[in-house]
Amino acid sequence: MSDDPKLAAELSRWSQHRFVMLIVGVICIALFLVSAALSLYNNSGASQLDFSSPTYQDIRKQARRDTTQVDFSATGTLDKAAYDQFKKMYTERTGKVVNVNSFDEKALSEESLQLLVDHSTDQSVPAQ
Amino acid sequence: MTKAIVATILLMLIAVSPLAHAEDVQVVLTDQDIALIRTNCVGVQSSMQRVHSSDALARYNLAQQYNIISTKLMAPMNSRVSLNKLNGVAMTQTTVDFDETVSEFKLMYQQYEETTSRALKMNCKDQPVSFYDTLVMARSQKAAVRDAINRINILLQQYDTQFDQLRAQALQKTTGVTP
Repeated sequence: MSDDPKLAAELSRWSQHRFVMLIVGVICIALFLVSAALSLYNNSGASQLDFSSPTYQDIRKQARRDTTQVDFSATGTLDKAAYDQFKKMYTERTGKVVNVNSFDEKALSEESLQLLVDHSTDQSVPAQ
Repeated sequence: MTKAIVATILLMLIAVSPLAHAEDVQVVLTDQDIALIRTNCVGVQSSMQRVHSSDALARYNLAQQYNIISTKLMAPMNSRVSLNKLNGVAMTQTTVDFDETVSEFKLMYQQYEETTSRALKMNCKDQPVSFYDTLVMARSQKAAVRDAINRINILLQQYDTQFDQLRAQALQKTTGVTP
């Protein structure tokens, strides 16, 4: 310990609160790390594909990882069999994306949503 | 001088008036339109929620297939073409363009998703004009996503054609017969 009474008192005061400071420090570090992780989660676009969110409850079961084996070797000779194998795999795989009519603009069109349509005039007049 | 000041004030008033801004088209919302938005917007938000969910699923499935095509088919084929000392420059270039367009598709989707989520969370009865603006923006962003998908499809077709040409040339070289 120091011979200086002031310094000794100061050190003693810090040592009395060091457990509290440790807890506060740990909480601060944890808050910083959590906010950094959340920021990465949101900015990377991962949050938009997180189907565990309640927003995507209805489509959760439909989203499945494609575990079909696609084995086209990066090495080896290119003979007719290899070309045919690739052609078959490529046609099969591209067929899954090219023939899909996703992101159809009509889904958000005025005709579809009818935001500016007065529905009150659509109601039929009850029979007298 | 006075006329110039009055004209400036008028222009500023027009600029802050309740107008819906699209990318190129400026839609003027009348009081009746705003009233209709207030009435219909909750139902529209419900429809948008369904579109939002199905688009998220489409984004997931498409990105998964694009990744498989790029890493499990195009890249190994390009490598094999190179190892067999064939000219695969065009195919490699198409693969690079494909990967870039897929990244663009993901970015476009991210922007579209953020805008749609904002529209869904918005209190549309209190902010009908903002809601309409956001919806118009979501429409144009969705069109951009669709455009990226169309470009990806063209690149997939292009790679297929280039592969057919390479195969024809290579088989002609080795067998001397056109396949």
